[in-house]
Amino acid sequence: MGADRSVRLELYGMARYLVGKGVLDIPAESAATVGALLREAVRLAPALVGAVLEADGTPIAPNYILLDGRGAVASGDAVSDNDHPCLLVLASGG
Amino acid sequence: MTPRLPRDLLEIDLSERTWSRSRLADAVFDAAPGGTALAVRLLDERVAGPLDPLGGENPLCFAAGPFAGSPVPAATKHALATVSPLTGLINDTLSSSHWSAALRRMGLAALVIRGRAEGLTALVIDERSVEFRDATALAGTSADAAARALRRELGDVRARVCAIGPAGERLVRFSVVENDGRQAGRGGAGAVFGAKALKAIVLRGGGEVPVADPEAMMRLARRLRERALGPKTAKYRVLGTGANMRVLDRMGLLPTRNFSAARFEGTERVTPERARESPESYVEYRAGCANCPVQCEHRYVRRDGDRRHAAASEYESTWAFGPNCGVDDLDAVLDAVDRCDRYGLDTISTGGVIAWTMECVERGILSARRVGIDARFGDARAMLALIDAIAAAEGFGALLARGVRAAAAEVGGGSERFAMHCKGLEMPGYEPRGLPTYALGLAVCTRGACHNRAATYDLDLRRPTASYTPDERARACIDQEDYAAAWDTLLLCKFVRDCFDDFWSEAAELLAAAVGGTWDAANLRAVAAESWARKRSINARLGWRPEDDVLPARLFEDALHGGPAAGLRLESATLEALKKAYARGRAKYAAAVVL
Repeated sequence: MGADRSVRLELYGMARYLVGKGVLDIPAESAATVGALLREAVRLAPALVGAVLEADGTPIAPNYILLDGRGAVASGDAVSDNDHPCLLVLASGG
Repeated sequence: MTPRLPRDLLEIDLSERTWSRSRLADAVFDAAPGGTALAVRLLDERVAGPLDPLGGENPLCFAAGPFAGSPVPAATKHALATVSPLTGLINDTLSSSHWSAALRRMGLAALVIRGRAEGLTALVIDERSVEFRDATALAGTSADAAARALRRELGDVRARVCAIGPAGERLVRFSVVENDGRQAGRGGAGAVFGAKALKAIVLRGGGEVPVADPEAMMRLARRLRERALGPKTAKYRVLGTGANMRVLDRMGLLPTRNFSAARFEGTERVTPERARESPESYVEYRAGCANCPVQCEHRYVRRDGDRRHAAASEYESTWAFGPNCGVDDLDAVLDAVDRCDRYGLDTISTGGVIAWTMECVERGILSARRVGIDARFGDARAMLALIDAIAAAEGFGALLARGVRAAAAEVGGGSERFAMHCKGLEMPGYEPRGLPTYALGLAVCTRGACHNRAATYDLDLRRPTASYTPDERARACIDQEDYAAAWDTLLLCKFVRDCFDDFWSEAAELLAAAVGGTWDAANLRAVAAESWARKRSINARLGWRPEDDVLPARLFEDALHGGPAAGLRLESATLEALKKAYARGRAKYAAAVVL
């Protein structure tokens, strides 16, 4: 990935609420892997820490990180140019 | 001195106008400490074979949760088990708040009601007596209005009331029972009330609820309360479940226009988050159950609207009238939810029968003349008119009031293919074509298409691309069913499920503090498994057979289009393999099933 590109992290639920917008643009050089992407998200949006992400970027259950709204991914997985990572949480039951 | 725990059973016969109160044996509570396990056990003992759900012989079995009225947070709830007029099978449904605690404050663990009153009746119950009170003046009122009127008549502002609205009186098969603004929702318990000419149950008086080990109780309750105020429940406190709509739309799992699509172009206009994000246009009210720190309910009304009509914005309700009816008008969706609450209608089923009607009109199976209005997807005015007609059981609404399975059977002409239900219960708002384990959970659920008796979508969502064997998916389904049965027995709200490090052992510790005895993870698991087995056994006596565990044909025949789940559909052979694996996994309870 080139340095002039960014990966757009889509935010839903608590993540969107805490950041106050629906997306975070992460510089591509900081988003080679899912773990790196989330660490950069913490740096850009520290409000996520404690409710959505740990300080090291690990999602706090039951928050998920999915690629393209569908595939669950792990910290070491690579993020490519065409990926659309989504940080989201589902709420059901009662 | 050992405290006298609330372990009495009150049995009422509306036909004979008699009642009796007795102490349940301690052994009953060893196997069924409360909630759903106890309500189902009482139903199990009273259902010998097929019966008319709207006949006097169908019992209403209430059981308080073992923590109701105690310091345990998010646990003041009760269960209600009866035979559903919508499915003809068991309906175990839950509600919460002050009425649940009032049962135990009167020393009651359970309440069973049979028979049929001659005229509309309210039961007024205190610690020493039961009054059969004429309620004809309350005919046609909402549950909330009936509760206020009864408190006023009795001069008792602390009386706790559960009641039905006009839809229950008119025997709408998916009408609810309401107390304290909460509903025992799905499956039509409101119609069972209505068929018994039972308008309301008033609970008066009572003392403190004793617990077995007050010191341990305070320590454990405090720990759970602190956790329930932390990040694990933030999504419910801050956003409510309505935030699911954007998420499911993004995942391509948002059932749209009667499950004909799985993404909705109007999501941004109709998501309840829009109301929260628009404080200049909407007022938000927070609400919730008694002794619950989460207060998950987010009610909204236009700033220039009538604040008495602030509508709950739960995901399932807003989905049912938004995406599932193709309506992208948030105000109309909130109006629909508010109307259902006032009439006493289950929102999922109401939205389901209307979405089916709209699809049948669009396909030419139903005419506007027959329906009484040209009800097409996206038509908010038609949607609201049909809600009114269903609640009144008038015109085409009288047919819809019988549920989508019965309505489709009468309309025919291919409309059955678009009737989205399982065993007669309308489908909830998660797209099964992208969630195979969830599809299994829906198909085998004893209650019909219910998403709350097994959170089987969890496996699919956390690892959607993983390959699991049928046995692994079946095992996950069984584990989730038993897990849900434990929660529904303890009647802890599932919204605090992430607040436990080790649910089974921590919950057993809480239970021992509340009711005494030697509870551990193993015997709590046994209680959950027995509760499930009793439900299946009741269903077998009511006529259920394994071949009834089917899902709508559309889920197998129509692939999803658009979005991340594009191309997905259920495979009949796959679901059959999952069901066989599930049956093997449940084999140790097979004797109870086939007898």
